[in-house]
Amino acid sequence: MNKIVKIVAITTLVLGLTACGVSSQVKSSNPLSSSSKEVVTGFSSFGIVDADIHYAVRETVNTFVSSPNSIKPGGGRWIVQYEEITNDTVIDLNTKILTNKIRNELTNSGRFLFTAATGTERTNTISEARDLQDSELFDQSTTASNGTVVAPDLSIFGAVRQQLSVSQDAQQQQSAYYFQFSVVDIASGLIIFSADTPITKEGSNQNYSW
Amino acid sequence: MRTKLNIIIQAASISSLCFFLGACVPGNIKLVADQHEQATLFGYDEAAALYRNKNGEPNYNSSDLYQLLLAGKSLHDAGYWNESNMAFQLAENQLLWKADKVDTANEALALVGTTLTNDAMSAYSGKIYEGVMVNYYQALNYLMLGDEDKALVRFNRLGERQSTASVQLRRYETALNNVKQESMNSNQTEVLGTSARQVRGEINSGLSGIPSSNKRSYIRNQSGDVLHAIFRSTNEKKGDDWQVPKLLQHARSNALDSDSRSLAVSIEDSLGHKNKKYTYVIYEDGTGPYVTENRIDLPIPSNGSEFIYFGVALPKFNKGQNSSYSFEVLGAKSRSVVTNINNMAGIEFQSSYNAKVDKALIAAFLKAIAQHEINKEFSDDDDPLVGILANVFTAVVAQELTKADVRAWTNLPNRIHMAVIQNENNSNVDIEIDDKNISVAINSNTNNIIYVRKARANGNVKAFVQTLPATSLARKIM
Repeated sequence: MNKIVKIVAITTLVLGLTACGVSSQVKSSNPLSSSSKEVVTGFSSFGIVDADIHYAVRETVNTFVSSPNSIKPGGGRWIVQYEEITNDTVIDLNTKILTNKIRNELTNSGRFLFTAATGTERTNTISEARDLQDSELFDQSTTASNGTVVAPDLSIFGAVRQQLSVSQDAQQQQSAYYFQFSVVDIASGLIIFSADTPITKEGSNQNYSW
Repeated sequence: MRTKLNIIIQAASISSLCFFLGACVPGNIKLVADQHEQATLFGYDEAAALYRNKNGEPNYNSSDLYQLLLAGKSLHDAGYWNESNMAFQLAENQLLWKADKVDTANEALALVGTTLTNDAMSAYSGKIYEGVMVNYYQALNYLMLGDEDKALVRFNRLGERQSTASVQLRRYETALNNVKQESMNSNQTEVLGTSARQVRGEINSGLSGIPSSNKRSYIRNQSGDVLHAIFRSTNEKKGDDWQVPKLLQHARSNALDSDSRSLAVSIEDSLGHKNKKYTYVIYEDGTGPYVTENRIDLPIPSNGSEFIYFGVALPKFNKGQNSSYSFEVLGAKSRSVVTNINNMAGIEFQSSYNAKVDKALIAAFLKAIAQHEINKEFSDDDDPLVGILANVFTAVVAQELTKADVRAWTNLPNRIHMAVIQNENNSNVDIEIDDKNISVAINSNTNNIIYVRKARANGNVKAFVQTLPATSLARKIM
């Protein structure tokens, strides 16, 4: 009789622990994530992890580069500036990591070059360098001339947005992130590329997801 | 004899444990509360100094939620926005639990676990409305710092908490009722029901401070919805103001009265006129509600028709205090109290009150039985001293184990007023609090927020002005 009680108790404990383990796991729709729905173990988080940024960048760049608009009419590279990338989620996110990766990938594609003269990545160096034209200290043949800065053709803007929802029985919650990027042709005002990469994460509703 | 010796040793051990617990945990809580109360008498900077050293480093227990809430608000009141957010971030890490998931398993354990001790001995786990207010102040702090990126994240968290707060409150209430049904057998229910009926009036007095006609939706902080809407309409981000009508709809539908409904309409109107500029005034008035202990002598049936009286310690909700009798913004289009913390805190207090009463009654019942048994065991001892000692031991144990949890976030304001005024060509906004006039210089070409705090009737006023979009540190007025 005692043995039966012990077996039942241990089984219950093991089942209880197993259930807890499963419920605390966050499942991600991101195939690159170690917590993707196909992978049982691995680092899991409701937040945006490196694998999510990697995936969002890959999907965004693929969308842009595979578009016929990525080839500049008349040849050469598009000159691109960044506008604001808004983090409209409940997670503190360094959007610079995201924009740097996109810039690197698009530059490596051979079709785009980014400007630091305009947009949110503008540096003061460009205008400050022109101030050297008035300085007797500098060899004037080595200072940057006026009229040499290249104006951008395109502007990238975007946002990371989020939709949070809870299952009917309040046991599970879902956090859906949308990595939304658009590229506008500055001359025409037309949006020539647009990419929207969703990543959904599902897990226990025990705590808030941030 | 051996049995009696064991009982004496056990009684002594329990007493020692109770003294230890009594001396450490509730003592610390009392110390924190007393020190805080003393410091706030002198002013905002003095209260903040309790939680930051001269180098601006944190001076609080980073794992004590109760202290973190007091610290975060004190630092906020003094205008230490960054330091306030550090404390609130630590507080928020402990307020991530969701009440719609505080189901019977967890809540029952928490309740049963302290049935024989008292709530004040357990770590402070916070309230639903406190999570709402933490995110509200974090967002306001970042707005004052001119960091709209982080303010947006906090407003989103606030929105998420606000949207689930009343649902969570309902589920929390259900979970607590389930615990009651699971934790008492029918005999206990009957006995305790008889006892409770005799002191029903005293039990109900614990709720007398809660505003009448309170409702669940008041757990939503209306000033949070309004400020969130103002932020989303005026910030530098593009295309993220789609939530504004929904936020203002919440503010209208949960308005405390017709004045606060009119204010929501005026603010919506102001946000619709992008070519006109407005100044929004937020005034935090007074100190919020607090909790005291309400000790009741509960009659518990003993032998037949006899009763023994046993002390029960229940929490009692007390209304907060206003610091002013009037607040005016000269020329304001609209002005009203938007949030009453008594409603927010009161509705959550009310939701859990019956469960707390039941728990206290069960604890009293069990302690009465234990005390009765121990006393009976020693009453026929040859040495009368043994009986006396046993009585003293059990009485001390019962006394130490009977304490209500009176922890509450007491430095919240009592009420939050808001006003909206069109800038036109005005370079100043004149605010009158009682007989005091505060003239605030504004940039009439931008939208602005003026944040005013007056905690005590005879205390000072703090005021700051921030332009919207917020791109740099808010300017201190006084």
